[in-house]
Amino acid sequence: MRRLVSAALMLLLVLCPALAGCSASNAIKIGVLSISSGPDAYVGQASELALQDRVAEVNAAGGINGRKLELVIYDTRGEVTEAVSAARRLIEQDKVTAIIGPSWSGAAIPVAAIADAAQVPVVATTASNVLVTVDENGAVRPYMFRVCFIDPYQGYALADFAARELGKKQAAFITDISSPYSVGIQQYFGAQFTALGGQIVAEEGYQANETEFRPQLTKVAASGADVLLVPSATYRDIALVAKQATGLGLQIQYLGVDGWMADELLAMSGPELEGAYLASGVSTEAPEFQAYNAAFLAKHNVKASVYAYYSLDALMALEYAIRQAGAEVSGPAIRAALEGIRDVPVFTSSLTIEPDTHNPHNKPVVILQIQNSQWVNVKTYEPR
Amino acid sequence: MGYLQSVVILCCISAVAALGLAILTGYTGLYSLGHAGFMAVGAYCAAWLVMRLHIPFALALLAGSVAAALLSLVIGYPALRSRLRGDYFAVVTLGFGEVVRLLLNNTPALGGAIGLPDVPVRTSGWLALAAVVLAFGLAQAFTRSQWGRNCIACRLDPLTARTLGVDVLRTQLTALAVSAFYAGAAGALLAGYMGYLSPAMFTLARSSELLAAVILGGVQSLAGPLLAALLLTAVPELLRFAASWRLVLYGALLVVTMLWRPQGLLGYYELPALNLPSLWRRMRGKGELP
Repeated sequence: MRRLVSAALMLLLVLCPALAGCSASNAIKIGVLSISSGPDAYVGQASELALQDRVAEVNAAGGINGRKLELVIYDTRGEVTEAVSAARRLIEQDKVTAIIGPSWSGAAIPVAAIADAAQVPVVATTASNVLVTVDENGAVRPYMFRVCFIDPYQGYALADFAARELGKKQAAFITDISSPYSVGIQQYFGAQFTALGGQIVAEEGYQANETEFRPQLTKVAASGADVLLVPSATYRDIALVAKQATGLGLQIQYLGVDGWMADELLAMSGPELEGAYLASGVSTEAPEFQAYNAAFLAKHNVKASVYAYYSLDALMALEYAIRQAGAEVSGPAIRAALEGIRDVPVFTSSLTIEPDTHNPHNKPVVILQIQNSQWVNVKTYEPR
Repeated sequence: MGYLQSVVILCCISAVAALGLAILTGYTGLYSLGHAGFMAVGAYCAAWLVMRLHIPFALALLAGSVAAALLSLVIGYPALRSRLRGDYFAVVTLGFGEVVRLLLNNTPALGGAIGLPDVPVRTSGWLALAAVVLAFGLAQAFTRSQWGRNCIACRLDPLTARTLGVDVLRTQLTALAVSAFYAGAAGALLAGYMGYLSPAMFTLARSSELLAAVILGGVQSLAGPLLAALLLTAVPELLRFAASWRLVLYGALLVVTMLWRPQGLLGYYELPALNLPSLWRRMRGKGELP
């Protein structure tokens, strides 16, 4: 029993720093809901570094309205309950002014409710499900914003490209049915593809963390499909699909989504995915980012990723909003400023927030192709 | 809702689920890897009742728990009747948990993979604490009753238990239903706390975390799993300052504890201070010596 008590005391000692109060500086705190462990850890890696770089840069230039910025970054393991707890901790314990992230819709939806209740603005990075910023009745969630385009738009653009440009007639899907992102894009793609005269011949599904895709691929092969959409944001899934398809001798035109944009994918299965097309909001290969990429790689020995770009977009949108809010750095003031963003230059483009949906306005969709294990820009869809 | 309060609520939710699993695993000797499935049933059932039929949360919580208990009988009867024990029963429950998650992923009426957004937030810190106290008291009453002794007998030696006149199947089914009821209640509390439900919240990882709490806490103990569940939920939150070392520390803590006390923190032991039924009797003036 005494040992038990001493162990408990030791534990308490270890945990004391966790319970200690926060510093009393007058820095403006910005929370970050990141992923730095689990299969999606690559999402957070480059983003965190990019955000820290940018904050150091802003602070070196004197901060915003005379106040420095401070990041509070928490890992969510890519799990919804963790993201919710971390968001609560950021708001209650760390008293952040605003939050960047999360990067996926499953977590962004519950975080939006917390943000609204606490009146802390959240700028999601790559959470692209429609329900992130508006509820089921179409009413906007007041404190939730995002800097990426939404799933329907990407699904339509891809279907349009497959049917019109590639002349494909029969589509198959291998969809992560446990991911709202994946299911959403599949639905919108299917609707547009059939509207353009195409046919859906195989709808295969899997669950997150599965590694065996041969049964689904065999069905896809038997269906006679001429194009295969793999709407996944986990490069491991995509790479395994491609490798196992090659093993089965299946030659098919792949279509991908913006979640494919990870250089790890090319390293893992670049040759198998040769010729695949994918949609993205931004490409790391675009000439305007090359200087940044090179500097980033030299400094951190980690490649910059689109997730880093989107995080920077979110941070720069917040910088603008904080500057606009002036002396009154409060949730409602920053929210109003975010809603009023019109043609504000951020990292990837110039940003306009639609006040009725809190989505970015007129984000272009870039169609890329994998050629010689490189992302190559093929076509840009401007929204109509 | 404060951050501290939210950690307390999360701890309470795991504690309720772990208490239920302690009855099934710690007392009756049946391992379950599917308790996340029962939590999901309770959670979705309660959320649906509150959102669509607008019934009070307390009633919905009860209904969710009952639904989970009934469902446990449906899968438990065929499995236990064929005398599946140990690892075999664990595999059956593993399958059950995955099936529940798959069904939820494919049911558009329950939101599919996107889940149910905008569930009314009803779980307060006090409600969660009250639920733990009630759950603990009832579990103690259960384990000290004839039922509880039958459960222990079934764990130690089913054959001897049967020769002594214990209905093994009925005892095991009762323990399963009680533990599923607890899991359902925990799920409903989770729904009322998160304000959002998705199948991704009820993965195998959650089932194994519960089982870890029971084994870490100790067999044939209620206080042990209760404390272990509190620790396992609170520690990753408290370790947040350690950033990426957090999960490593968490794992190391588990390994060290199991090496130090293989029988679990409080195996075969109850904290006397937590003896709720006797406290209750004493308060009513029918005191008896422990």
